[in-house]
Amino acid sequence: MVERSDGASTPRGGADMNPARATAAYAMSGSVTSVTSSDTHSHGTEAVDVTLVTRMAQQDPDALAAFYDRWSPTVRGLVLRIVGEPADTDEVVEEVFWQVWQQAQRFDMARGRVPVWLMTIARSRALDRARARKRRRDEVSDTLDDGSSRLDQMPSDESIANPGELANQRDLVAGALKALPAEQREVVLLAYFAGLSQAEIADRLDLPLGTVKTRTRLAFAKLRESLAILQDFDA
Amino acid sequence: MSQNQNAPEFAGLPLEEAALGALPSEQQAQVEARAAEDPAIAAELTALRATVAAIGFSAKPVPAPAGDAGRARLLARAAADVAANTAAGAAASDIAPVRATTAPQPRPTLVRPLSDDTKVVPLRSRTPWYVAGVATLAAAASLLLVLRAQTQQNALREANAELALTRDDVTNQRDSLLTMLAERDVQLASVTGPDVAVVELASTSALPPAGRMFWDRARARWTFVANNLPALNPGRAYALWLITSTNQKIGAGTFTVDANGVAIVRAEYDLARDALATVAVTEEPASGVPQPTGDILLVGTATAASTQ
Repeated sequence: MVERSDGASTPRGGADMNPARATAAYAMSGSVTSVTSSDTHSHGTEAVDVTLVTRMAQQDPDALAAFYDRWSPTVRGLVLRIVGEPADTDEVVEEVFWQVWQQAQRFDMARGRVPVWLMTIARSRALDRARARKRRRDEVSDTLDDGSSRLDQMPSDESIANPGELANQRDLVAGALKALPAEQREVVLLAYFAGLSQAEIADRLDLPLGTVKTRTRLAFAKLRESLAILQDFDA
Repeated sequence: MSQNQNAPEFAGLPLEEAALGALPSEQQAQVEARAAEDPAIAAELTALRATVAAIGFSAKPVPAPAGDAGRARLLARAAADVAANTAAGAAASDIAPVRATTAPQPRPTLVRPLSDDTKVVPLRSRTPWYVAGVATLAAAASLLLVLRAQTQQNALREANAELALTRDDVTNQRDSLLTMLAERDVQLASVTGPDVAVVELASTSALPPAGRMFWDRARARWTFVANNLPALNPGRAYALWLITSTNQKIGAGTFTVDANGVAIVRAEYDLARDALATVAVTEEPASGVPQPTGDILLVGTATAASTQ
């Protein structure tokens, strides 16, 4: 766990702040599946996501609204970190959720849970935008930085709709990243936030490609071990 | 999550890169194909993708901006999408009853007969009628919003165009004023400049006409001012002559006078500094003459003092 600047310990967040409870009202208005207040922990949050995606697949705009409210702060944070420009971020976030709406019917649990699917879409769209901007302006990696300088930035609980579990999860992931040796963390962050291939990372860091591959493999092995406690990546 | 990354079946497969989406499309397709064939590889890839996705959670969540126009646009798009799909479903369903007459089939319906002529409403895509109604209303509302936004956009464009025209007008006026100012400066310099020679012309008759020639030698500009010249008969004009020291008579133009006998003549002619001997005015035919023929009304000698 990462020590936060406000000195608060994790996990935090009480039942009143639980995201599943907050979204239950949306689910209740749907015609397919109702989510009750009993679905408030671990698998319950996953059930909320699955229910919302199912309802989106059946063209329920209320489900999209609920899903957006539930996940947009997380998606916006990721997109902003990759894109770097708030104006572009708003557009990308909209496109991410529009893609979710359009592809909800094709969502396949076998390929990963809803948050994995969502974050994969968000990262992909954000990297597309960042690359397009880079091509247009011939920028020199101003926005496609490794993000390591912002690794310690943590949000305030008041800024997001479902702070407890997210903060807990965020701390866990940030802690796992920080626990990596610096050289391994560097390649992971360059790969994830800057979207660089291993060859590009090797070129950028002036390292042999094999070294980058080794560092990546070792980093992922450690990350998987550190994050094994996360049974799912729900909000 | 499993820890079998070093298992033999994964040797040589760039699964981490595949999970990151960092492979060239051809290689990515190869990995996907292997995963489709081998459940163990598929499970490993899924686990790695989950790890990759988890990295994204380290980013600081950012709340939506005030008003969150993106959310409103998104929901409007979704409502319009639903309305479009509903309309498409309705169009398709219009064909269904015709087919039913030849091959009656039980079909899911939301049937609640209110009268004998109540039509059977087919269930489209399992969408209840009230959802379709709400969606239609939402689509109509979003359409109104779009129309309103377009109207505002058009108004802004028109206002912008008007502002651009006003700006152009102001720019033109400014340029015109600057041009006038520059001309005034040139005129002023033509009679007051340090290199201006002045030739006084005196009347040769009992009348008191007088004239003064300002010669801006640096710019080869001539400015002649005459007073009290008598009015001319029709078809007649005054002619201004520059007479050189070699007695060459150079016509500097013809002119008339106003009701007060005043005239101002401007001309440009490049003449050597020491070539001017005399300036004279004669009365000639209005069409002009190559050499002076009439009486000299005003004459002035360019003295050394006046042209230094």
